[in-house]
Amino acid sequence: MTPHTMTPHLTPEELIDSRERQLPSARQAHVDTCAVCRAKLAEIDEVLLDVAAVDMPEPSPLFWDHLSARIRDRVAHEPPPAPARDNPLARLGGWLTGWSAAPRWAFAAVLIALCASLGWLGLSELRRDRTGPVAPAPRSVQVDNAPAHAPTPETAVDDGDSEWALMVQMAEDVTWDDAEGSSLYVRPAAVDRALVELTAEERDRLLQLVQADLARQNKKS
Amino acid sequence: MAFDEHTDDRALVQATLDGNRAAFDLIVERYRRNVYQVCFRFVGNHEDASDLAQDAFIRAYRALGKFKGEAALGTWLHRIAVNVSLNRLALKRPSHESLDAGPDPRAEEGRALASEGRLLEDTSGERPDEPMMRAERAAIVKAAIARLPTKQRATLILRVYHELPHEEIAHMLGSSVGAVKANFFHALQNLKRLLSGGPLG
Repeated sequence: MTPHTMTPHLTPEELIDSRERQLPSARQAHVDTCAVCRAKLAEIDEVLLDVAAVDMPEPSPLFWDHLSARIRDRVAHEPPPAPARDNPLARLGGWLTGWSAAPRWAFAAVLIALCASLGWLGLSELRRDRTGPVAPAPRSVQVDNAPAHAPTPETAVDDGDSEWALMVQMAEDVTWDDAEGSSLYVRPAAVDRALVELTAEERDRLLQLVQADLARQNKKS
Repeated sequence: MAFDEHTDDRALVQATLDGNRAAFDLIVERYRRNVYQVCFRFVGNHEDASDLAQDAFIRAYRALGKFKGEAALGTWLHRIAVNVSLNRLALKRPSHESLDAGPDPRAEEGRALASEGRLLEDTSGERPDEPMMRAERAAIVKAAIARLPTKQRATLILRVYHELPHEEIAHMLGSSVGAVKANFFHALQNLKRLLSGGPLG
């Protein structure tokens, strides 16, 4: 039995570590005696040579000034950048203190994505519901295991679902730039990922909220 | 206040926040090449890369008030460029670019030179057709990179072309360091398959 058969082959992470000379010596000893792992490392090196050979074409020297001019034109139509201010997302984060970091990020990303895709979740209608004198019983209140009695417009938001109302209130102030400045990008597949990372209870609650709002939008149209 | 190439980044940021747009011009001038190159590596063509570079600077301008100076300005802009590029990749359909490679300007140029016999004048010691073959190979590899899954592609680009540490890549992509290394490995393995004419793993 050769020494390498006594230890497992390198994992993908270890193969990268080995190439970058970060592998612990005990594992490196395996490589020294294992033809399979050495072959994999040789393959990596070969592909990396190919990748490194793809160079950057240099744009025309005129391009850089042209790019600057385009940016200057766009900036001229922008309001001056605002200094850092109280960010509503910080308050959002505070409200979610009990959550672990990943679901908090995930939930906020989902909130922003949903707000954008559902027309801010019919916030204007919600505001009317809250302030209108004879607003019909709102439907969003049914989402949180609502009591059997029909809530009044006030209790619908404030008592029946005060946490969501707070989220809604804060989300009204959140712009995409706020979100981005707070590192709350909706990255590729962020919503999918968020849904995977939320607990079952959180997912149920989010689903209920979305369904209630979709139903309300459908009824409205 | 007059600015020149020696003016500190921080001073330029502060001046921009104070309403001096010329200061932001200087920031653009200082970092436009790097930002453009980041974008180009992701999208692989000049048109999209220049649009993305412009978007990245506009986003940076809007968010400048939130730049805390904890990282260097160049690093901060780099991150914005990566995010803008990743968002674009996420919106775009998966690339079905052929590995036979479309017309690559350098390969075309090589062919043109070869047909004119001008490559024979090369005195570098390499075979006359080598520049053309290198350019063709590079075009094929570039097309293969474009076919990688987004995360593997991003990891490969950030690691190989921008030489970012795994930790920084993990931060940018919202992954663990282990996942970044695994993605890097799988990207290379998939490239090997694609370049050998096989399917993605």
